[in-house]
Amino acid sequence: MKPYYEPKPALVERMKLLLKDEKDLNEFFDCAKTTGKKSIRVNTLKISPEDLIKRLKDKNWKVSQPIKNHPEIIQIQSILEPGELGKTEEHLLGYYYVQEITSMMPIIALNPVEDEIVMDLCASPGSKTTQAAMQMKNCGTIIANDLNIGRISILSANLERFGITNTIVTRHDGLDLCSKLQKSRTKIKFDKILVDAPCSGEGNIRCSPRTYLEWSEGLIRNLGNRQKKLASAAVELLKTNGEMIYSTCTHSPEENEEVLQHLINNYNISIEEITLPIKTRPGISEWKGNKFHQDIKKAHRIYHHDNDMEGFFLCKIKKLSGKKEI
Amino acid sequence: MKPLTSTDKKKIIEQLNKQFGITQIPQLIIQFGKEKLRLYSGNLSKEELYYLDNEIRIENIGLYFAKWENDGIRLTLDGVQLFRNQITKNILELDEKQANDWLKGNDLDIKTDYGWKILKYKNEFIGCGKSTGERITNFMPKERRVKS
Repeated sequence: MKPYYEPKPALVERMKLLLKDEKDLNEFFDCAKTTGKKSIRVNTLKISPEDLIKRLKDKNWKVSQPIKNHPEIIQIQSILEPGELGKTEEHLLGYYYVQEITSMMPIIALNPVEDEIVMDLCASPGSKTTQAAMQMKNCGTIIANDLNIGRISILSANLERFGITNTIVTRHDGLDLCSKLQKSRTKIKFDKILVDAPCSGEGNIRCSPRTYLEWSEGLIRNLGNRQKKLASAAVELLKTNGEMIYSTCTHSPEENEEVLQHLINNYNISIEEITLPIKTRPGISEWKGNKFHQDIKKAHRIYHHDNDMEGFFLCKIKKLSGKKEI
Repeated sequence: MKPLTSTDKKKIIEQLNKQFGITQIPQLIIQFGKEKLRLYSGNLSKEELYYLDNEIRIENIGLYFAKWENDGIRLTLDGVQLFRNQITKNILELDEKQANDWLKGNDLDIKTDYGWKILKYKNEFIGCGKSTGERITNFMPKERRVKS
């Protein structure tokens, strides 16, 4: 049985402001006590969804493909032993990646294609990098960055297992990397960037109950400031008309809408409409007296009880030509 | 990090052809250290890679697919997987028990001719090992082994 910790009163108060309907709020906290279904993403560089499903059914696993037009996304309906998904021959051979469905949404939204230059600024453990490389059919180039040596090892191991050949792994603080790339003689600019920013993790509460223990308003303020810097540095490296997904696995507006408002205030960008294949809610228009730009409603808030998945936030940003007149 | 010249690449393809029947490697081969060979299929030029490595230091690039050994080239599991459609020589067919043992990282007591062998079970290529004549030595890294 998974451990459960009570949310801190300040977190409950903040969630009341985000989920104003009492039934909705109760469903959110009730769902936090439950465990969601496991899901995997087929590595179409190595095997077709049909062939993998056949192999999984031979193990007597019940599986489904819950997302229309995305046959590579498979949900495991059977109850498996802890760690069983990571012990199979198919996993060892890199035929699938164990990944939560909401965490697949940023790359579905970013839609990287062959021959593009892409950066995944906070890449480890590599779920989204492998997803992007798979979509790019191992063409183009991805620069996948993370800071910690242990996380880099995990990232590299997952890239190898998936047979990824188009990716360059770097180990830097995200801000330092952007600064170095700005000065690079390659003058490299990116068609697409993913900033899946380190965050307070309120959306991951079902799989990581300790988040409730570690959560604090101070942490959110610090992370929000850091995320603004990280997202800004990434925008600087986009080509004109280049696109960026800013995402987090948290609900706090300081780490989400306020970051987008900061980008709108400082850069010539547009917030783009995107359609996602799961239930989402629009970005909020106001938080604690701060009104946000109307386009921020185009961002997507994903709450765990809406889809029986994890919680998430994401938004697509396009860099426009010219400088922002401030 | 050293992107190989076409002459060096040709030598590697000749060796892989001799050992396993591999004749085509469209990707750039990059040597890391003295022995490790990696494949990069991306669209940055050798010059851009050189600058990037100097300016931001590349930790890893592409796929670690092979290693120079004293008596030939050893393919990694991921290298075997990548070239599975080209491998025609030195294939050793395993039964179910042998395949399970191999995936757990164990050596196999199989008598066959000396040299590098590609291990196959049903339609699956599951690694590259060295035959001593009496047994097949397993090089599967610990983190990739199927746990009992």
